[in-house]
Amino acid sequence: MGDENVDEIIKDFILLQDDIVIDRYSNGGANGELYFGERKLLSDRVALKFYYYNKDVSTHNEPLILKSIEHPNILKIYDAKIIHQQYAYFLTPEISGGDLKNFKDNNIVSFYDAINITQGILNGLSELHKNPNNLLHRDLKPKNILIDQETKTPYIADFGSVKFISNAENSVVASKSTQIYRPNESVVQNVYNRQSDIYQVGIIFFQLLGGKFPEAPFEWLDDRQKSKFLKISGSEFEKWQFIDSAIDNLIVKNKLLDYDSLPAYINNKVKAVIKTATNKDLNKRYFTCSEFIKDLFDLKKQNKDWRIDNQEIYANKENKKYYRISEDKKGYCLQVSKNQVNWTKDNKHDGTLESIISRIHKD
Amino acid sequence: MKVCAIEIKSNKIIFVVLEKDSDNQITESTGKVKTIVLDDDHNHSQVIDCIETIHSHFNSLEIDKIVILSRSSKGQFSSSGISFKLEGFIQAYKNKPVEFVSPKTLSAFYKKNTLGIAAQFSYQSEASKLAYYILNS
Repeated sequence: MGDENVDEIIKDFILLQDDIVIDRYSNGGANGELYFGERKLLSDRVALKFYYYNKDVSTHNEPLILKSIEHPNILKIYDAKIIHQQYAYFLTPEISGGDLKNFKDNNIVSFYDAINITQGILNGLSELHKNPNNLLHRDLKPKNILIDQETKTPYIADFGSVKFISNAENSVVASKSTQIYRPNESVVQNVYNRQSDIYQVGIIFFQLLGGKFPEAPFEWLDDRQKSKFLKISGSEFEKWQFIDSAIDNLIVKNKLLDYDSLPAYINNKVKAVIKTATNKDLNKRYFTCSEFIKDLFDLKKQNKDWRIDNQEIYANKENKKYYRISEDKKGYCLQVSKNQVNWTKDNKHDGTLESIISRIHKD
Repeated sequence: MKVCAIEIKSNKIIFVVLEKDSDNQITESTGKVKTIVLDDDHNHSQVIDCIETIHSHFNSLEIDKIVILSRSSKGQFSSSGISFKLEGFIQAYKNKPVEFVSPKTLSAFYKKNTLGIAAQFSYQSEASKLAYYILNS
């Protein structure tokens, strides 16, 4: 199963299970070992997350939080048990699509999918934020969101960084979350609040829409920084520090997101929503999840459902009219259909991608 | 006490949120979500999105009650059918009480009282009157 490096105590426990047929191990679980299997009597797929247990410290927070909050967009907990003085585990459903990063890498995520998934995450987040829960997730990123393959329902998972914020507090200390998801206030002042969680959802929304980040660390640097970087003669650590500081600088200047990396059909209204969600200025950022949800609701009404499939762009309007944009020798061509079987050419454009997209937006 | 007052006009829900503190000071805290519009009441996914958007908005407001300005359902001046659907979406919210106040009750109150706050936008005037009435009646 690839669990050679897992502690024998956990492996022995796995072997002893007779009500769950464990068939898969994942080393992708943050702060713990993750196994998957099928419950014999109930015939459903479950996940077992093992973690280091110490009754005197707060490592047991995650299952307690999962137990206390019941919401359609928050991962359910079935059970939790101590298996040894050092280890405990908790049992949750296995979510069929895996994490959102994996789902996005292996599936076509349409414009409406992106909106629905983001709304789902925000609905779950608003449950965490509301009084008396008053919880900040502090580490929202695609890896920490699970998604159902069929219904595309997102579930907030991985509560290892969750922190309680009292009604008297404006913010708490920031967590060491992945750098590109750290908001300005976390980088500059090492503080975190409800709006910081909203910022992280804004970044996820950008990615779901097709927005990209540089794949190689070096690509985060501009030309001037690249030549400076090449002159660094010190250790690897020094080089990483240089890149980290360049990324921090982009966060602080509100320039982390490259809006040109979004698909051509993403219009300015959509970009404005991402900008509001990820604004470095808290006064300009969404104050509550519901403000963000409301703008997503409006975006969905105003836009067609777009997707890119095999280098062709598709759009559809309430499943009544379908559009297909493909490249041809002269530029781009547009075809329309009412049933996705019989396509007819539409020439009311000048052959550029921009003119075709604009035509579809207005239709 | 914190109240969310609602006027429904055709396919639009108009919100005003007022709060009265222990010193009887009234403050407006409607926030950025001032209206929600249902464009197509036959579009299933839009209807579901609309309900979720309304309920998530109520969750974030931390209010004590929701009050709707009632409308005529019969006769020549009856309101649009969509408005009654919107009313149902609001009533389906389980976490706080949802009540109705008739325009007659409101006009009787303002014959003897004056509105002590100014609506931020003119389209919010009826919802503002309603919220203020709830806090002062």
